Parts: sequence; C-alpha cells; structure tokens
Amino acid sequence: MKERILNAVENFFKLYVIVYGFTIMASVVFMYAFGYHNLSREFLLHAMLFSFIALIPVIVFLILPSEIIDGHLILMQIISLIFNELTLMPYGFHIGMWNSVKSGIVMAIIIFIINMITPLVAFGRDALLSSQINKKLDQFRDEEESDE
Amino acid sequence: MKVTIEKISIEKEEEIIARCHNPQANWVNSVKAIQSDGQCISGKYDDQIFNVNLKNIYYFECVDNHSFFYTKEKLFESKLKVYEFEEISKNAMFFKASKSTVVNIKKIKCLKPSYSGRFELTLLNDYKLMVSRLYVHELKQIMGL
Repeated sequence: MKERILNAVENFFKLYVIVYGFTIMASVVFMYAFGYHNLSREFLLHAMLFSFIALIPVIVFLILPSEIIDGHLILMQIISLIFNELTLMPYGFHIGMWNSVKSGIVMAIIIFIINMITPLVAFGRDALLSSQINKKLDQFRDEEESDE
Repeated sequence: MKVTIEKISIEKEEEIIARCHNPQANWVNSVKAIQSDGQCISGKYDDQIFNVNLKNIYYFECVDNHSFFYTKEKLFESKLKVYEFEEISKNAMFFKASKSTVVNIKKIKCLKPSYSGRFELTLLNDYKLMVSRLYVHELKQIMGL
C-alpha cells in the first residue's frame, strides 16, 4: 500500500512537470498569437495551479489498486475531460486566460490536449518497458542457444 | 566468477549454493532452472493422461474452474489450481500474466503495449495473450530490469 502511494506520488509529479511545461508552452504560443506579451510571475503561478487541477482525476487513476482497462479507461478519460472543462474553463476565465469565444475555444482545446497527455505518456512508458523486456528476451534466447 | 565444485559422500544431499551480486541475473535464473529440469506435470489429452515437461509448456490457464495448459500445438486439461501451478513452476522461469494465467518466459516471442491499457504478449507459436500492467512488473523483476 505504502509503495503504491509512493509510486503514485512519483508518477504524479513526473506527469505534473510535463503538463506544467505544456501549459506554459501552449499559453505562450497562443498569447503571442492573440497579441499578448505579458508572461508574468503571476501567470506562471496560475499555470501551476491550473496544471494541478487538470491532474486531479489522474490521482484517482494512479492510486486505484485495480487496473483501469478497455471501456473503463475510455470512461475515465471522458469523466476526467468533463471535470477539467468544468473546473478549468471558469478558472481560466477568472484569471484572464481567455475572454472571447475564439480564445475560449483555444482554451478548451488546450484542456483537451492536456487530457490526452496522460494516456499518451502511459503508452510511451509501456512501449519503452516492452522494448527493454524484448531486448532482454532476445539476449536470453541467444544465451540459451549458445549454451545448447 | 569463481566456480567451486566439491565432491561429497553419497549419504549427503547434493546442493547448489549461488553467491551472487544480483539474484535476478541470468546465470542465477539458469541455476534455479536446474531444480525444475525434468519436472513434469500430468495433463489429460484425448482421454489419456500424459506427463508433460514444464519446459514444453507455453502457458497455464484457469477458465471457469477448469485448468488447462498449452504446449506448442496441444491443449491439456489439468487438475492443478493456478496457485499450485505457480508453486511447481516458481523456479522454472514462469510468471503470472493475469489472475488466471501463468506464462513460460522462455516461450515469449515479444511483448508490446496495447491501447486497452494492458500489454499484448506473443508466444513462439504466435498465440497472443493479454497481460495486466500490474504483472508486467513481475516479469520486469524476473528479467533483472
């Protein structure tokens, strides 16, 4: 149990760094596109809180003892997306991250992309682990063949 | 690595002690496998009982309270439960791939991630199995990663 929570915290912070980085980059790109050029310390702090709220559903995903697979995984993503859109859109409006329909749509797209980051990162990590195991299996088979 | 072979009298039991830096190293697994060398389990195929060497088993599975194990081409029915098979095969490079499946690591062709949140495992006979992410960590440990 303790190990699972520690793993969940570690994975959460790794994801948090990725999402925070993405939020800053995406915001800077769109700010410049819409003619704003004020990347203040206040903005960075808000982006930090924004990223944290975006990852709240992931905490549940990381702490659950059983795996979330197939349909449940899709359902989890949908619930997470709805939660994020419902909390982050008003928050983003409150702190001035969007103030028109056009910038609101951009904001909604950024939140959608943030939601897609979690499964993509998980898939990337699985792919890396698979390739390490496959390499080891090949090495193992080569050793077996040379022994024979 | 230093290898010591000691001749003992016939009354004493033969034994191997492996002193290692990494208990998951390949050579340690090979030493463990010696214990299961020649170990067989019985299974029913075509109304006949056969003894099958663990080395030839691709995977063991329990479906609706019935247990089966698969070799390259044949399916045998077994009376063993998953935990009993796990106990028998613990030194023979098998790992638990799900609650009801135990797979022979030596018969794995490749492993790849699946979009369903699990891993897809392909055996040497091209049979595919789904592996839970929780159990892949066990495989990772056995492989010494």
